[in-house]
Amino acid sequence: MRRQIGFIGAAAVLVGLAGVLSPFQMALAAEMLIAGLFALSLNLIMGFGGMVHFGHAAFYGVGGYAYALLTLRAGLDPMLAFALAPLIAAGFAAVIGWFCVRRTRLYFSILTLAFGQLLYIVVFQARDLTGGDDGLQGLRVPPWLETEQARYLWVVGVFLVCFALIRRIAASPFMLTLKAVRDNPERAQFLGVDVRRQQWVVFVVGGTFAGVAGALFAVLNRFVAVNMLFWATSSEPILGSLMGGMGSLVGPVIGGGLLIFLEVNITRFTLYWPMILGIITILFVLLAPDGLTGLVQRWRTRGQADADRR
Amino acid sequence: MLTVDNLSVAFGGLKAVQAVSLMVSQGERVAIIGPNGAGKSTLFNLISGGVRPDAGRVVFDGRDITPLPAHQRARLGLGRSFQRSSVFAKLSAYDNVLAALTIHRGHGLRVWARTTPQRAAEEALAAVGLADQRDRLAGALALGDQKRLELGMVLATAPRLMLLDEPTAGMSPEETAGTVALVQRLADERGFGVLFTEHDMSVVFGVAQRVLVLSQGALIAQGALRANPEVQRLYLGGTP
Ligand SMILES: Nc1ncnc2c1ncn2[C@@H]1O[C@H](COP(=O)(O)OP(=O)(O)OP(=O)(O)O)[C@@H](O)[C@H]1O
Ligand SMILES: [Mg+2]
Repeated sequence: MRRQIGFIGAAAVLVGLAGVLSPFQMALAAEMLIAGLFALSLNLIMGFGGMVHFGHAAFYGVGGYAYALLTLRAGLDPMLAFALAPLIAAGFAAVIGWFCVRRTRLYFSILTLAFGQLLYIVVFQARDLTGGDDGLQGLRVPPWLETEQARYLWVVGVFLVCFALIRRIAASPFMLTLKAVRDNPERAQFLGVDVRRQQWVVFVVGGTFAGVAGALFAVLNRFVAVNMLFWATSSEPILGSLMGGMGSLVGPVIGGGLLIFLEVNITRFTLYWPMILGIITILFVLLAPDGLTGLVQRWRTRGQADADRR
Repeated sequence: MLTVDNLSVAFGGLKAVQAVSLMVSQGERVAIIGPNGAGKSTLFNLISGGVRPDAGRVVFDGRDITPLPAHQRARLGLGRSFQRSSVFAKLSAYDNVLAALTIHRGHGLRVWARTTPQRAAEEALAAVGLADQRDRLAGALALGDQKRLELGMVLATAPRLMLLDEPTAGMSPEETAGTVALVQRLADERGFGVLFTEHDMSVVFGVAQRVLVLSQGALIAQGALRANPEVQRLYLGGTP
């Protein structure tokens, strides 16, 4: 019940902001939500599944490019393209994931990195189709998404739907089983879990939502760029989840969004953003490995303990 | 129920299990004893699917399960515990059992459903005496409690044969007695068979109806334990 109220409250605030923020601020807020969704999609795989995924940007990129190519080259209706983009990302995740889950831990991570870079190179080289390193500009969007405000509200709406879907999935028997696999694959296997299949499914589910995030990016900015698939882009949801806290759903959203917010605001003053990001990351890993939500939780339980003592 | 037929496996040059054949019938309780490194855990791995044999067959319920992966063997009703306690450390004790129940019911791939509270999970937890530890993280439980939790998880999957690898290792004498009584009672109630290894002879004689002796990967004796001079020398001679 309290979570329901929190969700509705957050939704009301996000919608209400449309009447308050400037177009620039709305664009930034939309970027933050997209980054939050992207981080959340990764956290299903990394936080719940314990699989460190270095190639998640591939599915973000596929989502974006699928929207761009379907509208630009295939002449599809933008909304139909938007609906198909996550499914295409899911298809890519299904194939790539099938290979990746055949290895565990570091070897899994390296495979995801390799496949991610492979897709990046393909998009980079297929200049005729994808525009290569110029990306694809001037994408069509539905007429009712012409204004900054409308696009912001569209991002808010899609984000909220995805968050609600993911929240339900997170409470599913599937996720409980996946967490069991994360904690102890051997024990899970000897209780009857097909470990690879369990990991493959979450890989595809996460890839699908990354595809939604990528398609949102394409609609919001009306362009896609090849660096959407670059490995460094894969590190953003990892850092975002780490900063926000992998143990919750809100954590990665906050962390992913916060990273964008800091990046945009800090690069206005200094070119040393990567260095500052490095320092922030180090501080989090050393001082708050559970992220911001972990800090809040610790602070709360301490408050609770103090209250109990009194 | 379980027939092991001429099972062998070698690690490099080490013949860990050599041409072992044995049978466990429905509801029977059989102990496998033998010194450290005799190959007991390896034999359990061969039966449960953790290690592939070089030769031989495992037949469960009349079906040759040798080619099946471990998770499918578990689905057929072959449960096992591990020598070193093996739980889901970051889940609560209750969630450990709930996960086992979910897996057993084949709901592990239900992405679009809610996990609902299960009385069966509470019961399994109570059956192994961990009801009061319900919400503690499994990784924070005492070692003996972790072993009992693991037992509860395996129980939740309603196995027809349980392979228990040193179920009381690391437990205090009281806990050991409690666990022995528990396994006895549940096996009586539910009728599952038990194949177990144990170094504690009081547990062996307390639970087992039949005893097999493994040494250097080979079965050297069974049944009438105390009468066998080789067993005396190898095994019982060493115990006070
Ligand atoms: N995966 C493996 N690779 C190589 N050698 C192994 C492997 N597993 C077991 N061994 C070796 O096989 C032999 C039998 O080991 P196993 O663990 O089955 O003995 P055990 O009877 O269970 O001993 P304990 O009573 O100490 O548990 C030992 O020499 C062990 O070192
Ligand atoms: Mg052993």
